[in-house]
Amino acid sequence: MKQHVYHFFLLTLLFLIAGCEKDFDVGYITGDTKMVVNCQIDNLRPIKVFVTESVSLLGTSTPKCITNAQVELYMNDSLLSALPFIYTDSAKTFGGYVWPELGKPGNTYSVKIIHPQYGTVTATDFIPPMPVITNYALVYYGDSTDNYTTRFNLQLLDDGARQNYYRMNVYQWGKRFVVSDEGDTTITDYAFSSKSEIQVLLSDTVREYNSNLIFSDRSFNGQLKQIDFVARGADLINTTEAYYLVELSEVSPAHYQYCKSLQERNDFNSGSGNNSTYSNIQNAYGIFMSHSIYQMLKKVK
Amino acid sequence: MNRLLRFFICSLLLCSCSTVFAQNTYQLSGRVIGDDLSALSNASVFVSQFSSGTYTDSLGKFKISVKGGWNEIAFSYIGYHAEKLNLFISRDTVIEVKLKTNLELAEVSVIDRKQILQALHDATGTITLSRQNFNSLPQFLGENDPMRALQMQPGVQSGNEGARGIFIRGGSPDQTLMLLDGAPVYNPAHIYGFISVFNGDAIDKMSVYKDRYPARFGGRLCSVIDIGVDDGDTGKLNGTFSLGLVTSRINLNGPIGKKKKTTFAVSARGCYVGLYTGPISKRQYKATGFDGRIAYYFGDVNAKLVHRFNNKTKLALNFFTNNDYYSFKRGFESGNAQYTEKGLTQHDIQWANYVASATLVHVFDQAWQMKQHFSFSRYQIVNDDHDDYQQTSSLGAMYSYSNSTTQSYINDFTWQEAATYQTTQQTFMMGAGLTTRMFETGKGQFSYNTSYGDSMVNKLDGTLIKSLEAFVYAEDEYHPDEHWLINGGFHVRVYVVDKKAFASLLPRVNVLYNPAGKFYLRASASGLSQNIHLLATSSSNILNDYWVPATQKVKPENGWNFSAGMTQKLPLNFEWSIDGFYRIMNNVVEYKDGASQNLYTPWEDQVIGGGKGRSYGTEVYVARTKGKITGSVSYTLSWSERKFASLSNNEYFPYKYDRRHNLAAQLTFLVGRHFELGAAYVYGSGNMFSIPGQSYHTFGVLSAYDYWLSQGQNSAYTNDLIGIYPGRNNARLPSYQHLDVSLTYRKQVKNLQHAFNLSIYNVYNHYNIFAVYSDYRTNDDGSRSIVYKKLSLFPILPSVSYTVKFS
Repeated sequence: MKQHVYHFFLLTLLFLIAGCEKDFDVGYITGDTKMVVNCQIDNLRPIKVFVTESVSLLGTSTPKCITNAQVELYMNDSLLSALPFIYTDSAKTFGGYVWPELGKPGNTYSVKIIHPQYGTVTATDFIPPMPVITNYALVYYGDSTDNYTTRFNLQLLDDGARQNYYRMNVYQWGKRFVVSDEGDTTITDYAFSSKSEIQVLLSDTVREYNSNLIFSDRSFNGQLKQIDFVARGADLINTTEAYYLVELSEVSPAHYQYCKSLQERNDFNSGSGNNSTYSNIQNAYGIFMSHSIYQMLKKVK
Repeated sequence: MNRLLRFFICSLLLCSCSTVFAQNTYQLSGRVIGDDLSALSNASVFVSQFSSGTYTDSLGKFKISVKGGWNEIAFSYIGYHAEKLNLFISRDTVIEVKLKTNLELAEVSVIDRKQILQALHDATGTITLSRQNFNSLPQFLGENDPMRALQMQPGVQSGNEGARGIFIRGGSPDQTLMLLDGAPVYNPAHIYGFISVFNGDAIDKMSVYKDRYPARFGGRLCSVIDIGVDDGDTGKLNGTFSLGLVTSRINLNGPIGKKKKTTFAVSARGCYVGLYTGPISKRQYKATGFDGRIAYYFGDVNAKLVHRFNNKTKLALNFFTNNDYYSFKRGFESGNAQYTEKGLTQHDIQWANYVASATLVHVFDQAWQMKQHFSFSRYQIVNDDHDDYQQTSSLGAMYSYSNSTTQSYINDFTWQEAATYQTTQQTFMMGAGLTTRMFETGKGQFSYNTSYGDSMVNKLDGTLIKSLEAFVYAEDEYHPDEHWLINGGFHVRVYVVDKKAFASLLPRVNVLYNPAGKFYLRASASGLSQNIHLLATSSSNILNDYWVPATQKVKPENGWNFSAGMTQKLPLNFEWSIDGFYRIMNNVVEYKDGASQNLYTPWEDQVIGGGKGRSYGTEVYVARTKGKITGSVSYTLSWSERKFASLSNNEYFPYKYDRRHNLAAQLTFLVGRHFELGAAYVYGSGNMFSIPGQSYHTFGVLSAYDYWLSQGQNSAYTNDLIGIYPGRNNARLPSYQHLDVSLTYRKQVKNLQHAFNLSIYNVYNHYNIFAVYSDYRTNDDGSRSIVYKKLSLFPILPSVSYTVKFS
């Protein structure tokens, strides 16, 4: 009898919470193609503006460049240059509009794109100043008993005058022995991005590309903040040389909003929602974002 | 004579007896009230010898032409003893009739009923539902929900499974003013909106104003749902106890003291679905290597105390609260001899309404009545998050504990004075009031500490905004003759926020014309304004609705409502009506594209104000209102649209709850003395949602694609696409529909009335949408297509309940 009662309640609950899932069709609407502008400015790389056309959700997803646009780059409202289009590959299938100089933190960059079909498109973003790191240390490099966990800490001095957003990237690279099937031993380069795992609480965290950690200063505004974090590294037994590169960037609010909206899109699958992905491109789509990168390198072997 | 308590002008009747007068026609008018002095709307007034009659209006007033001489006038109203009066009429006459509660008919479970009554639709378009209407519908999880009964009426719809609130004629849920004994209720739904916070045992009646908007109401852009709480039986102690699978209820009401001048009514309800979800979810978590549980409980309480100082003065004190608790907990533990770690994540959410009101009614004489009303209403939601982590290894122990609490609330204090002056041909009402509100969002505390010695307690200040509203109104209902009823007035509202004042003068007019028989034509126009907004983040997120005030940046909403229609009462208790409506709305609010929809981002930065809205359509209603078989069919054809400069190319786009077709039908059949069969069917076009037409690549994809091309490779993943939506709400979801049936058996054993109910919700197991997900599907030919998946919560769902009532 007890079993029957249990099954009865279980069945009732399953009715309540199990739910049912079914496919349904909606009329697909094909819209006109749009201009898309994507650009990320930082202090380590030349500036490259990707100007592409939108693609159908049902067709090929290969990016299509717009090569006949007039692209002007401005810094603090002064024209730097009209950017030339440069193909990336020798087959001339893809490329972007390139400015060979690096982005300069603390300045406002703008782009103006004029196209006979899509009209005039503009976007603006401010590269934040370099983040102030007062201390950085690699505390411990773990072995197999600790899942190769490496512990770091750094101290970040936050600017209390404004809302700041930061991004943390961790990379490891080096050289290691590789034994081939034939028994030959070679030394090859290796590199990978490692997901940082924070050991302190941070606010408004977002994972860019499901890896890089972005967070705000809301819980330590204007303070000296110690951030403890770990990252999983490689087994050093077979390495001859190993480095950790930790990048702490201050990202612009547009950068943060873009990454946040992308994460929410992935988390909540907003296929039934509105245009949930952040864009600061006027009269087109995409993102014009920036960050200033502070790099910290530690040799572990 | 004890049933007829008062004639205000009886001397006129006794002194006039000329046969000359008997041949003339005179106006008999007046008011029908209950023994608690409340006005009885839709009470029947019938002149026996001429087979003519009328119904009282929303203020209990009536007016009828009678011949001079002796007239037998019958007054009747559901739940009250009928009264027959022999009156000698020799001139235009005004009377007031007080009906006494019928103890056998006034309560929920009526034994040996001879007939069933449908919701009352009066000639002006006001809909009144009584408790019997709630109980005649099939139950859902053992509950007779007043809001579900309301959804059977024309122009009223629920959003879908999981949508909170009521949508009336294309308006959003916040555009309907919901009053409980005159006090506003800001959150009408328990979890997911499947059950409303209104306990059917505690509700006396519910009036819906959607055609007209009397000048005495204000503050919302769409309609009014005025819910009256039961005063309690004046005769003797009554009680009801109901036991269901997931909820149970108890109600007690009756007089206090020998003089029975004071009555009370207390109702309580509890939901214990958490008793099931707790252990079963724990088992499910255990199978996946976690220790966790999901629990949900709610409870609500209604309490009312009414004291009648004399037959002219009544004081009513009402209190209502509901508390909902949802808890999610998940923990893990792993490791070996050298290394262990364990963690616990807990998310608790509590939300509650607290509503209290005091109403003092004093009748000075046949003409004057005063009402003083004070109310407090609070809606709050509290989020608690805990994250604990502990780790031991060769490095020693490491831990981190964190806790965050955020709270949002709205407090509403309202004071109101109202006066009514009634003469033979008209009733004049005027009033004034003050409402002060406090809105706070995102207030809380955020703290943590770790084994590194890193700790912090950070107070989140939140956003606190205070507002003040003052209002005055004047309303006059004028009966120039037996064919016309004209209700007109104005409502003036002054709203102050951030030292900025917004004033609105809102005229209201409603005309009713009776050309012949029981055929009526009606038309109304209402100016409306609204100074608060409800920000609802997502239909699949149960807990993030919060109220915000209109501000200088997001200005108060205003608009106009126009309505016209006709109705006719037919023989055999049939009636029909048809209405058309057109509503204009200004300064409506929508979320921006890409809004983050969290409490940490200022809400004003997340929404777009200044939008325009319009809704229009027609409603048809046919019903048999009384008898052993009753039923109704209502159909609404409507459009509801919004327009914003920054959305959809500044063109009108469909509102999310634009429901082109809405059909509701119900049938109740009394079988013998003990059985009652019920069926209800609801069909509505699906809600609107947004689907993309084009798409573009994320920066990450483009950057990686560019990199690999530069390395001479072309194998980068390029399917991570962001949708471009041609317009907001450009596609329609599948229809919402369900058929429910019920069988109720009632039997009286001595002074106990037993009722067993078997209900089946969604008889043909239609999968109604609770949430929607999109995905890609690769077709046989290799092409891709988008497929949308709908998640449904409730397939066919039987429920049983047992109710016992003593009296």
